[in-house]
Formats: sequence, C-alpha cells, structure tokens
Amino acid sequence: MTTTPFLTSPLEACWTRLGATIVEAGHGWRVPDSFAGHDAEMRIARRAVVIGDDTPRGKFRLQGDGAQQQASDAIGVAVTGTGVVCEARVADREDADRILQVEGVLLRPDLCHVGCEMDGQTQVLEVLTQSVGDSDTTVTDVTHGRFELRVVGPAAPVLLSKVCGLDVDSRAFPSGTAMQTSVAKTAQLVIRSDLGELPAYRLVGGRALGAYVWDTLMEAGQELGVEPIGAQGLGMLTETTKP
Amino acid sequence: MKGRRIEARPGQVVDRAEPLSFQFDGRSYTGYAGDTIASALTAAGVGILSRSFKYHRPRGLLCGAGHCPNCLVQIGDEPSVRSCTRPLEQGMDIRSQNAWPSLDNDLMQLTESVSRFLPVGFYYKIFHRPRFLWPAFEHLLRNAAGLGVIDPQTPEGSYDKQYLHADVVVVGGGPAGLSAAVAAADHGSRVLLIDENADVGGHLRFDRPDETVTERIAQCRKALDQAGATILTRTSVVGWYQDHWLSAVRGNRLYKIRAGAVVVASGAFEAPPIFAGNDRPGVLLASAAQRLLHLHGVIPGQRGVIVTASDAGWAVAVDLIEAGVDIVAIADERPEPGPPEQHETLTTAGVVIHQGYTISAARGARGVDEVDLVPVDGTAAKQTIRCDFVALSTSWIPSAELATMAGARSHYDETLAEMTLEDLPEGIFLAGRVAGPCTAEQEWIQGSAAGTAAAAGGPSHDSTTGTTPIPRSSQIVVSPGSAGDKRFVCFCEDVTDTDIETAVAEGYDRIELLKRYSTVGMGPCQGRMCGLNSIRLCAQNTGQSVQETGRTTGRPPVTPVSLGALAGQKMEPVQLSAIHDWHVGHEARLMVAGPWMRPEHYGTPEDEVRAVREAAGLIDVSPLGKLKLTGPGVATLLERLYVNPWKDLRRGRVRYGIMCNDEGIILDDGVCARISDHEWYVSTTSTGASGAVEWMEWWRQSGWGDGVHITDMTETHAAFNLAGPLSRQILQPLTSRDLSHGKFPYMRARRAKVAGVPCLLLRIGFTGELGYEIHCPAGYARYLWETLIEAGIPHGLLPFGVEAQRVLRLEKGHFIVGQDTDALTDPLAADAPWAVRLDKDEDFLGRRALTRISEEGPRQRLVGFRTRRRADALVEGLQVVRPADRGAPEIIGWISSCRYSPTLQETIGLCWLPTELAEQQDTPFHIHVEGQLELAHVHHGPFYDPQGERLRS
Repeated sequence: MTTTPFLTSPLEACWTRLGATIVEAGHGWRVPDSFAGHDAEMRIARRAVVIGDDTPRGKFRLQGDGAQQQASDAIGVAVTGTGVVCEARVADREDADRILQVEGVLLRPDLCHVGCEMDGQTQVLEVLTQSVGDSDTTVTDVTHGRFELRVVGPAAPVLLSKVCGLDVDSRAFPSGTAMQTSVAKTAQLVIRSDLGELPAYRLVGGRALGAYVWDTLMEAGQELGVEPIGAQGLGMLTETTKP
Repeated sequence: MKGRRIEARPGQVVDRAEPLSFQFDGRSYTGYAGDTIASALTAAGVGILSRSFKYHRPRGLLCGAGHCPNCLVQIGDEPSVRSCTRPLEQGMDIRSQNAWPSLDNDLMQLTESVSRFLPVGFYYKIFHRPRFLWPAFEHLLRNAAGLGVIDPQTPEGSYDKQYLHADVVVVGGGPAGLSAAVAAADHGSRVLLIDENADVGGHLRFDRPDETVTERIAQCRKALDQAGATILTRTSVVGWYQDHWLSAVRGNRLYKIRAGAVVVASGAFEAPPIFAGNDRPGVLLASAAQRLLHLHGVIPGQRGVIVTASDAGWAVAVDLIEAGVDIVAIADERPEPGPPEQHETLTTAGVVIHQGYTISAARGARGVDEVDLVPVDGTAAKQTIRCDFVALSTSWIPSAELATMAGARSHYDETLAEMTLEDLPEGIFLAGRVAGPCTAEQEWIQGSAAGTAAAAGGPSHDSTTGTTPIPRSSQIVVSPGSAGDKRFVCFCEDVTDTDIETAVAEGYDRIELLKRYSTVGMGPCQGRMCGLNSIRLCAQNTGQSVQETGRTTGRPPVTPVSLGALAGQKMEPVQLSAIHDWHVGHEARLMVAGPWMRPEHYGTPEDEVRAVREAAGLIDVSPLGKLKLTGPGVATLLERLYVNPWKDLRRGRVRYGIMCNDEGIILDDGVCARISDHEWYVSTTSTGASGAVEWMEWWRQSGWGDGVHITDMTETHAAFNLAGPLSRQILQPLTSRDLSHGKFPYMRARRAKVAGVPCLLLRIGFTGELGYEIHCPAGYARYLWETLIEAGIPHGLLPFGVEAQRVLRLEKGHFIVGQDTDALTDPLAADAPWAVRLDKDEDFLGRRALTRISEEGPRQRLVGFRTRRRADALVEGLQVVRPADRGAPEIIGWISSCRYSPTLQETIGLCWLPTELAEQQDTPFHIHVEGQLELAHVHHGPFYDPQGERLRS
C-alpha cells in the first residue's frame, strides 16, 4: 500500500504526454523536472515562448472588509490599488539564508489574493491567519483549487492575444500588474511578472480547467513555436533573469 | 514577350526563377511564384474563368482586386475562392464551379434562352402551384442554385482568432494610409496598419509605378518597423462595431481589434459601366489590366480598346502600348482631349481617339471580338471596332463601408457622380481617395494630417478639406444606344437594368425593397460592383434624385468570411476531476455532466451496484459544489435561502436542504454541515454548483449575508463517496478517528486524517448504504483515491460511476434536481414536504408560494412506480396516459427516471402523476411506449431498505 502522501497537479497527464521527467518536489508535490532539457527549454523561452506548470505555489484568499490591511500587515508591504501586484520578500524562518517571495493582489476592495513560493506556504498561511486574528476576515488556502501556469518568452504576449481579449502588451499591462479576465473562455487571474527583459505571465485559474487551458495554449502557440518548460528550467530562468 | 507574359520589369512580384505547375479543370498549366491564379490563367490565355449565377454566361477576369464574382473557383474542398487575389501554389488542383458538364460547354446556359420566363423575382411568382409539385421544384432549384461544392467529409481545418489593440488603426496601405500610419507612429501612438493586398503601397504598386514611389513606400515601411508598428497585409477589415471594435480576416484567422481611433484610407475601386454584353470575358476594368501588367507581367490581350471618363484611362492606354499591346482606340466620354503628353503618345502609336464617345456594346463568340463606340450626345453614328479586350475606366466607388458602418452619412455629389461622406463619428478619420478624388501627392498629405489628428485624439474630420476635387467618374447610367445583349447591373446575381426597371414598375421602388426583391447587391461582391449603378437606376426609374433614393444599409462583413474563421480555435472548457487520469487509465466510460467529464461506469454498472449493496464501492463525487461559508450570519442566511431550518443544527451535524426561488420552485439541493459556530460546509448539485454559488452570493450582497463570506471550494476539495456495508471496515484502518456508529453516527461531520491526508468526513448516504463522503485537498486526491481502492480491494470494493449511482439512489427513491424536477417543481409536489418548515421563525425564499401550495395541495406528485416492462424500453420522458374509449389517450404525466434494479430484480422508476392517482399505493396507470400501453403501479417511499436501517448501521 502506498504510504507517503503525494500531491499531483491537474496538468500531470499533460506533461506526461509531452515526455516530462517527473520528480517529487518539496511537500510531496510531483512536478515536471524537464521536458527537452533545461538548456533547450531556456533557449526557447528566450527566443519564442514556453509554458510551465507552477501549480504547487501557495495561493490564499483573504475575504472581508479588512482584507487589504491585514494582507499588507502580514506580508509587510502595502497591498495597494486593485490590479497592482505588491511583491514582498519575507525571511524564511526555517532557513535564515533564504528569502521567500510573496505577492499580494487586491482583487476587489474586500478580496485579496496572496501568492507565494511552494516552500513558504505554511509560513505564509500562518502569518495571514495571525494577521486576521479574531476579525471577520476569512483566510482560505486555495492552493489545491487553482492551477498556476507560467507563460514566458518574447512571443508570450502574442500567444495570450489569441486567447484573451484584454490588452496584454507592456504599455497597457506592465510587469507588476494583474487582472481578472477570461482566458480561453475561462475565468482567470493573470499576473504580469516579467523575468528581466522577457515578458512573463502567471495564469491562475480553477484546477478542474487546468488541463483544458494547458492544451488550448499549446495548440494556440503552435505557430509561435511554443514548448513546455520544466521546473528546473523555470527555476534557472528565474534565477538568471534576476536583476 | 512570350504569349501574354511580358518581360520582367521592376515592381513585378512574380519570380520567374520559380515556375509553379497547377491544374485548372484537369488541364495542366504553369505560372510563377507571385502569380495569382487568375494572372497565371490569363497569361496562359484562359479567358473564361467561371459561369454566372443565373444564366450561366461565361465570365472572365473583371476587377482583378477580389471584389467581383467573375473569377470564383473551387480549390479542393474550398468553394468560391477569388482567383484574382489567391496566390498560386505548386500543384494546385483548381476547378471551375457552377458549370456542367464543363466550363466551356455549360448546358445550364440554356436558361438564358428561356430568360423571358425567368424575370426578376421569378421565384416569388412561379413554382408555387401546383403545390404537390413543390418537392420536385425544390430539388431542381437546389441543384441549380449556389456556387461551388461543400464536402461534408472535409477534415477539420485550423482556424483561430487573435485580439489586437492599437491607439490608431489605419485601414488601407496606400499612400494615404502609409503616411497616416507614419504620422501617428511619429506621434508615439501604437499603430496597426491593415491592407488587403499582398503588400503595402496601394494603387502606387500598379498605377504607373516608378522608383521614386517605390523608395517612398520602402521608407514608410522602415519608419513603421522602427516605431514598432504592426503591419498586416492580405487582411480585410470586414466590420466596424461600437467603440471602434473592428473585425478583420486574414486567411483562416479572425482578428478582433480594439482601436483608439481609426483612419479609413481604404481608397476607391473601379466599377463597370452598363452596356450590352458588359459581362463578356475580355471586358475588364482598367485597374485590373494595370495589376496584371505591373504586378504580374501579363497583358490582358493583344488588341484592345480603352473606354474612359477621365485621365486615368489614358495612362492605362500608354502603359499597355509600352508593353507591346495594340491599342486600337480610346473612347473618352469627355469632349476635351486627355493629357497632352499621353495624347501625343497615343496619336503616335496610331490609336484612334474618340472624344465624347463611350461604349454601347461588346460582342463575341467566347469573349470579345468587337465593340461599338457611340457618341454620348447621339450626334453621330456608332463605330464598330474589332478587338480582343476592352479596358474600362469610367467610375470610381469610394471604399467607404467601414465609415458608413461607424455612422458617417453618405451624400451623393452630382458633380463628382460619387457618394461622399459627411458627419464622421468621433474617432473616425478619412484620408485619400475614399474621401473623394485627389492626386497621389494629395493622398500623402491627407494621410499625414489624418494620422496626426487621430494620434492626437483630435476631432474627426475629413482630411480632404482644402484639396481640389478632380472629377473622374462617369455621369452616364446606361450607355446610349446599348442593345443586342443583356446589360448587367449586378454580376453576382445576373440582375440587368431591365430587371431593375421591372421591379420598380412592380412597386419595389425603395432601394431597400428593390435590393431584397431583385437580389441586386446580395451576392459575393456585396454591392461593390453594382451598388451605385443600382441606386442610380432606381432613381432614374422612380424620377427621384440619387440623394433622395439613398443607399442600402451597409452591414458586416464587407467581404465574405468563412464560418471556420468565425468559429476560430475550438475552445470548449471542460472541467476534469483531480483523479480524471485515474479514471481514464482504468477504462472508465466517460460522460459529460454539466461542465464536468465524469465516469459513467467502469465496465458493468450492475456489478458496481451489487458491490455497493454487498461489499463496498467508491465513487468520485468531486464535481459536487462545495462551499465554505463563514461568519456569524451564516445560519440566518441559510434559513432564508433554504426551506429547511438551520439555526438549530448543532456543530458536527449535517442536514439535507432544499433551496427554492421565491415561487417555491426547487433550484438546488445538497447537505450542509456545521463545522463550528461560524463555519459551515455546504454542498450543492454538480451541475448546479455555479448557479447556486451565484444565487447565494447575490443574496449575500443584497444585504442578507451579515458578515458572511462565501468561498467556492468546489475545485479546492476533491470528494469521494465510500459506500457499502463494508465501508467502515475499509476506512477504519486508515484513520485514527473512531468510526463506530456510536462515535460517528449518521448525518454527522468529522475532521480526520485519512492515510495521513487532512479530510472532512460526512456520514451521509445517497446510495442507501452505510457511507462516508470524504473531502480532501484536491492535490492529495490521486494518492487518497488509490489508497482507498487498494485498501478496499480485499473487501470486494469496486469503483463505481454515475450510472450505478443513479440506480442506487433510485432504489432509495431519491430524486435528482434537474432530472426528476423541472422549472415548475416545488418540494411539496416532489414528495419532500418533510423538508419544508413553513413555521420557522425566519422568512425564506418561497415561503409564500409554498404556503399557498400547501393549502391548495399540489396538482401533481412525484412518486415511484414498478413495472414488468424491461427498463431499456422505458425511456425517460415517456408519457403517462389515461386510455380513452375513442381517440388518442389523454396525457396525464411523464416518466422522469427509470432503471432496472439488480437488487430488486425489477424495473423501477419515478414519475409525475396527478395527485389523485399518486395518493394510493399500488394504483395502476399506463405508460405510453411505442404505441403500446404498459401497465405500472404506484409505489410510495424507498424501494430498498424503507426503514433506512442500513444507513444507520
């Protein structure tokens, strides 16, 4: 009998079909380590567009009149106007040398999205819960209920323009902004989070639609040379494009 | 010169180093890369490209610009391809359409010989009687009508859509469009330039091109590239919608474009004059001749006549002479001579110049053999001239469709003999020939002004202000003395000037009525060739002015769009459970259930039912709606939304609830668990989840949800139902929570770790057996499901699907919202009065209606039934009838569910019956099955375990 709980992304069958090497990341999540090798994947990311699965990232919702203030208090950065991504760097209490990246987005005056790296989920949930305290605000961990895709590369805006009616160009939707919109006829939170010069988007949507959205993007991106990118390539890409 | 192909010159787009072979109607031809199909066929001497719609007259190249229907061909399974704009490809198999048995000898051309019996609107007048013959007529007409052939077996093509956004969209890449785009880009605007041709440059590419012009176009292109502007060629803007929302088509892709401002620089196109035989192959527009000559290096014929009303025709004549064509005559309807330089060139070349003349007829066996030129004032005799083609340059129509769709008003300018535009709406700017006649240099200037104004967000204006109009279009409606053959107004629908005259005489004297009756302007060109001519003819026949006659309303699409492009990439969102891959891997037969894909069964539903009744079964119920409600006001909100009471529900307990609207109609049902004082976990039906969430949220935000927060956890939590007498034995080893009945009784909720996964357990039983609904974080679903299966297999556990669940719940007599209920079902009629608490303290949705129904009693009731008939013959939806002594039986109810019960070994079901029949147990009634009456008997309560002992075990 299987004894160690593992966690799966809704996209596992999609990456398996594409020949992913699957590894177990922290906290039991199974992730696609690589598809065509991280070097090749990074080259495509710099030249065309890649899609990566980042579902294991922590995702939380704060709901209530005090959500904006409490999210700001918890992550240490003011979560300002609707659609603005407020990024914070929080010291990892498990590892003093490590800094956790956390972002907060005000979705509406009483609803806030907080996202964080996979390793920081427990800590972020705790600080959010502490910040909320006995107030009327509700904190919900929706990590399991949402997929998260990364779409990275110079052709990423063109790819999104084939499935999303909003203007995703840098001038209208610069890095550090977010919007709730329809992508491939599904409701999603789209966060623009460029990797250096590379246009990059996070798509956060309902878990049950994850495979559909992945397949739709892969089909729409065929003409642009879209390829999947594994966790290793995505991580290295993020590291190498840090300022 | 070799045949009709002249030597290579700068500006030509054909690459003679790359020959392409292709077939047309089974015969082999060769063209070059850069050719269009029509240019390659013209170069090969093919004059007849198609047959006309009604009379099957031979038709050849006319406009060369993708406007008219004359060159429509079929390529493979794609009908009605405009061969004058479709690039030639190696190995193309091109076929003519609308001709039988062949293009050259089309038997259907006999229709012309009976044309006197097929007047305008003939299909409104004949074929209607005798009525019994209509099917035969219909068959005949359907076979005769239409262009091209659609193959239903065509494999699905690749189509898609793209959204584009720009501060300034420039429609048209001619001099005005290019300069507008450059000016707007210089202003810092995000610019999108769209042109329907293969390259930008507009008429400058083929209208006497020279190196200076070519260089100027290249500089514009470079400037736009540097500014990051987007240029789309071979793209047609087909519609304008509110707030500058444009649609455009390029091949199989539909663009949806949001523009800040639109510069319409779409130019103008030539339209043919009306004279006898004006549709013969060999009669073409002068601009088509120029395209052939300057872009493809092809001449339209060897011996030609030019007919014009402006200097434009003189330039074409000079171009053709320089290309080695024998131009025998030019007829200019103006009394004054053309430009002196060109006049001298033509005179030197021996061209006979007819001032004040126009064409009255073209004749020939298969094309043009001779034409008649007549004086426009009728003061002299006609001149008959032998030739093999005639190029026409008499009328220009501004390509103003987008501007009129946007709200600009058309005005007929009697001097120009053209429609002009007035009252431009905000954000629409005109530049170039679309705004009126002007020189090429004026087009550059106007474009720049329009681009600057559009980028600056200035008021809309007509950029032609201050330019000098140059009259170019003919004032003649129908050529004088024109006789001996049909005079076509509409080439698409074969409508003649006589047809227009007849239609007006019959009372269709308004342009919109005339269009619908005669079908003028309703063909593939959508009035581009015939629009103005039909208006002028209508005006002539009614005695009104053209301005008074008005024009028909322009609507999208401007040019034909394939249905595939409108549909785009297939995007049908489908929701998959967290363990969908497991289902697929275990040969589940999948079914669509609302937005979800669910396993219907894994092989044999009957075995799955038996497993649940005798051992255990496990079903994936993740699609169930799952809501987390928090806040002090949850109980009150639920009291108002459900017919059940909630305030008395204690922590850790679960209750079934029914949600109704204010008319007492059932909207949804499910169970609600009170997790803590201020936290509840509510489930809804699978297919009704999103509706239920919206309903709750709406009432919450309307003021009923005092401090309540609703979080949809449907996709966050997976849910499985472990059901069967052995389910406790299977589950207990996986959790430290005591599952004994005493510690965890029926209708209770408990948090527990199952195989190390944090879960919420609900002890409920839709199947009628001891059962646990296990809710866990969706990421763990695969692990937990596999663990449960592995633990259950030694006990005889089987996974079961929706079909087995339907049987199991039917054996218990449970209804399914949406299947057994409809938009008129209330809970009292649905045999669930026990759930309705009319006396609870809180008012609730549906109370007033349910109170009335309770007092009056429902007229119909949902009850169970048994029958000896095989279940597979009893389709859900069958009628329950009352037999009549004479005539058809009376319909008194219907079957909502019916299945064979492997447990009871009989057919059971649920049905709607009149209350008087439903009240009595075992009352017989009849089901109407394929013309037979099948006997059934009313059954009250659950069919299986009526006391519910197994649930509570």
